[in-house]
Amino acid sequence: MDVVDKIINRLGQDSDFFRYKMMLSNEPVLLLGYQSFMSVAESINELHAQAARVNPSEHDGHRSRLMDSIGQIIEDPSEDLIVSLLLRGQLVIWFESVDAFVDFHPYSKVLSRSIDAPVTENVLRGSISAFVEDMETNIGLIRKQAASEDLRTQSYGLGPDRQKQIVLIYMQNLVIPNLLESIVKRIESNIGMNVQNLQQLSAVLGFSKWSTITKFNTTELPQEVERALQKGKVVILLDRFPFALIVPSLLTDMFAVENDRNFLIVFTYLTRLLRILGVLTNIIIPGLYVSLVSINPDMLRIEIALTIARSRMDVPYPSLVETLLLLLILELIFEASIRLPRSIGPTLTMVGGIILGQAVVSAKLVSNLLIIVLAATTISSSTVVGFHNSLSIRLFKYLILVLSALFGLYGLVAGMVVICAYMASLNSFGIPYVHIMKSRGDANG
Amino acid sequence: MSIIGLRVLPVIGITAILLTLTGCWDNKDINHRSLPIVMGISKLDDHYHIVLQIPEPSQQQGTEFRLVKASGATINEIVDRIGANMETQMDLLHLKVILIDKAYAESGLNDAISAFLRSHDISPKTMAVICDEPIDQFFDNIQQYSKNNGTLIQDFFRANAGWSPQVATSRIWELFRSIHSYTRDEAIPIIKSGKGTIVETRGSAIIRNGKMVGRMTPDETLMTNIFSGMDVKGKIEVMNSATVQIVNNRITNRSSIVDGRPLIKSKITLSVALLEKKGQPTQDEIKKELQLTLTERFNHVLTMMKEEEADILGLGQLFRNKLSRDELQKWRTNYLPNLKAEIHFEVFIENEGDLKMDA
Amino acid sequence: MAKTTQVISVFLIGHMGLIFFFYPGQIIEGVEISHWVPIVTSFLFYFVIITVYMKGLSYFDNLNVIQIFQQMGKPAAIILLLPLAVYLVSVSIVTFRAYSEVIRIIFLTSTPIWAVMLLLIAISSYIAFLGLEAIFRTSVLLVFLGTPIVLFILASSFQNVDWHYLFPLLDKKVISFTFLFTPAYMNSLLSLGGGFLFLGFIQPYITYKSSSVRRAYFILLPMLLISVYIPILTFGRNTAVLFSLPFIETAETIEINWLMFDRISMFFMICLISFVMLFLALLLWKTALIIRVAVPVKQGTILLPLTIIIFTISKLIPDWHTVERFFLINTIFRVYAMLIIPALMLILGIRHSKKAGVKT
Repeated sequence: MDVVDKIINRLGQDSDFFRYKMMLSNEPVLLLGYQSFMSVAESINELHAQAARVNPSEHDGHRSRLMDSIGQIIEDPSEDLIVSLLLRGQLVIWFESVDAFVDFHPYSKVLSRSIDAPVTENVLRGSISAFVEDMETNIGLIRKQAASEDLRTQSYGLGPDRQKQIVLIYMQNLVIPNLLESIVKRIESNIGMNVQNLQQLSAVLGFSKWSTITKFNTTELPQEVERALQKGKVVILLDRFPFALIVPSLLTDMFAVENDRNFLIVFTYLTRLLRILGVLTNIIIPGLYVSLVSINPDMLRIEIALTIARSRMDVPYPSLVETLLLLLILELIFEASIRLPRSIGPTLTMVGGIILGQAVVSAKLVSNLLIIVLAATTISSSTVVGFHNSLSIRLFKYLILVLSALFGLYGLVAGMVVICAYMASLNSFGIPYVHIMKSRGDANG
Repeated sequence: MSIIGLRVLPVIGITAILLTLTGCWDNKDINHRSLPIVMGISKLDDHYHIVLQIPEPSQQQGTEFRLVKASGATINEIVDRIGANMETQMDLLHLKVILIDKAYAESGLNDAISAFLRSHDISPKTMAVICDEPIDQFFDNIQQYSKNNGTLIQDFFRANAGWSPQVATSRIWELFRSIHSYTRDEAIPIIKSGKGTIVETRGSAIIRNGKMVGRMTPDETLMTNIFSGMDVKGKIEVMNSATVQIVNNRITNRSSIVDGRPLIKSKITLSVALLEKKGQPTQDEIKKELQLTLTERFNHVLTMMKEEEADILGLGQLFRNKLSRDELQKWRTNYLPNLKAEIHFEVFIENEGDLKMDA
Repeated sequence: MAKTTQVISVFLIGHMGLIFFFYPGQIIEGVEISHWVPIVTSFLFYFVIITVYMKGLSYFDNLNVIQIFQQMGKPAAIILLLPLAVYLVSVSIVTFRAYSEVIRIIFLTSTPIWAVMLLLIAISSYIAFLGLEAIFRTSVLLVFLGTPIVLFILASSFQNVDWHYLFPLLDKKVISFTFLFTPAYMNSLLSLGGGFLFLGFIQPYITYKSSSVRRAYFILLPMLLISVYIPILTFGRNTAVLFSLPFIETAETIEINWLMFDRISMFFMICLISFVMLFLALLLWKTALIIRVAVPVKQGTILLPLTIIIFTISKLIPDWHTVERFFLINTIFRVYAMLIIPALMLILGIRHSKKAGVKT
């Protein structure tokens, strides 16, 4: 059985796989490909047009010149190689008479979105084009943004069949050598591992599974990528993943985005300060509420103490349970509003926010003040940059909450110390998480 | 498992262990605590009598009071007993005012004050006040008026609420300090329940080493407040010819020892605004009259201090760099009675109000 | 890579935690007037010691005390390090116990002491477990979070100050320096000392510029003065001497009307407590490092039994007086750690440099 039959045997069941026999400049050929990747009629037209350019009068060598002109002749054709080409969306032409394969770049269908505004990051003043699923487009966007001859891209095919493509991007002159070296080493030693999601990618890079702080900073914006490259970080692009992954992710990435610098410098710093305050509020406030209500009420002014006491009059359970209950509902609302279609979202917000909140208070299941506290918590959890970071913050809040319920303010501070120590202990490829990276690239930093 | 995984597990472990500990010790939520704001103390033959005014939050109409009374041998024991009998836990940390029966104050407060400071339960910022009528009667009276204001008596003494400059203020830490100080005594306010206004100020008591030894009128209290450099803006001073308002006051002191006698030279600068006048006094007349009144009042305060050997103005403080520590120890007995004070009041009439002087 | 900022922040944090709790009480008790004389004396005393210590260390290239001793052979190292280990363990116990007591008095009157101690020790050993670099980085984060609060409270603690209590500035009794021999002053001197030893332990892992650390030491002088003088200026010496924790009592008298909180002193104290946690973590780490000379296992493996031992002993201490007795028994080891070790470092250092000089 020759190679063609083997391929047809292997892929023949696919409904979108086609075999098309035709004559190309008097040569009988067989076209193989997936019609879902390309528009077949236009590709054949193109093929004919290219073939016509070759002068058919000279007999000897005509065939080889024809093959040369329409595409790349596949040397040493093996079944696996051709299948992988086909799966990547190439059109393979089999010249029956000489049993040779030519790899032809077809007229492909557009399977990606066009470049669009970012979905998860809002840009108020700055470049609005965001990454899309198509990796080539993304690399193009970065090249255009960075506009530097030092930009290097390095591509790897991962997975058991080396089909999943990832690309490392870095600045040749700025990248931290150790960082690049260790990433490359990790990827090369784990090249057989599958990368369908970020968990698998982080396994490839050897990150801990149980870390509660993400090791990748994700962004949709070429501008952020450029900044990261300037700082000597490495950017990873994953095929069909419309985000750039920046390694390492640092504490400062929670508070600073490059886009801040499109505003006056005063506002840049004020905005960042606001984000820091937001994160602190989010982590501390529920714990503070619990510790003030149940363990250290002497901290409060008497007026506030009495107000809280009044609003908690008929609440049947301790403040920890009360807070956990409402926090759970809030987390549910968070999750639900991600799941729901956009058109139903506002309904949910209204039901969750207004109706539920009001009802819960008037039913005296929680105190008024708690509603305020949790509203502040929820709002502030969103001031942090990047959804992946807000998840970590949301989790830390519970540690503080529990410790506060046990030890009051002392527990709260203990929790803060633990969180600080935990963050301080993290490092990726030798770069500590709490490190502040200076820009190595531009003179006016 | 990787090293970083090992870092997280202890956190989870600790949290889990701690979580099971919740409720092992009794931490009561704020709505299960009683937070008394005012404590009244009187003493009858070695027996303390204590009245606690506890605000009771109710969801319908503001805050209501509850009065709890009990007697016993020590203050802490009584509070304990009250707490045991209440449906909520007693928590004295929010106590704002300690109302002391006059008779008890005259017999000496030292034990009570050190007890308050020793136990961490009572804030050292708590105000000490003397009550000019029987404690029970006072509370019964104010109960009738103050239905919906839980922090009424406290507000009366708070600088950003109802305090006025004729009222002395004294925290228990200041009292405690005066008990152990060689050179400083305290004036603490005296109040009584009023008609119309809920609390009526009755001047202040002179406390020497924890004992009430004399009393001053509100006007004299104002003098001491001016002298201690307090900002007494807004006070209206009544004289035969006019009423003025103190806008600004400043004091400079100079102390020296002359022939073994302490001498103090003070200059008090007052800026006043004219509010009202009787007849047609000139600016100079008003100034003179004001100076005279104030000097007279001050001298009266001073005489009283010398008589009682109680240094409520803290004049001895001014001599800390002139006298040795052993000499300071005898300040009250040897030096204060011989003190010579030259007080000069300088008065500026800053403005005459919206009318001209002659109008 | 030099991490001078981190070293300085650990240095300051450790001392802040030590200064504001027990130090003012001991100084006020030890001296009647002119407290600045003993404060400046002890400040200069330690300045000399730290200089000697760092000078001695500087003769060795990036070696820590343990490695330097180990150069003299294992038996010598064990003999020299044993008192140090005893010192560190006992200091850990006393510190744990004392601060748990303080925490309980200030924040948690109804919580059992073992629970307070458990959390304190759990957190400290967790941080110690995370490693030296984590300790140092955490210190920077804590400085960042805590400094605004600490400065705010320090500034507002001047609220009730009566400057007349400053006088008399100088007294014959003080000039005679008899206070040097009062037990209270000795205690204050020794309790201050624990904060600088770590400088000799971190070397190969973390390096620093010793001149910057020396300069940072001068920040402590105003802190020492504030911690003693604020209680004195507020209460007067006669009253301040009656308090067991004078600065904290003074912080309780601060009234700020525009805050929603009544006792802002609590915020100050929790910041200091967080500093203490870090200080204890460092203490544990040092102890584990020394124990490893005799028992060569991993750092993490030692910490757990060490923690359990310290916790158990702390729990066995029934009352405050036992802690103080412990303190006294401990004195000889304290003197060893605080005087002998720096002096020894200098002597060894000079010898080492001479040897090196002969070789080259």
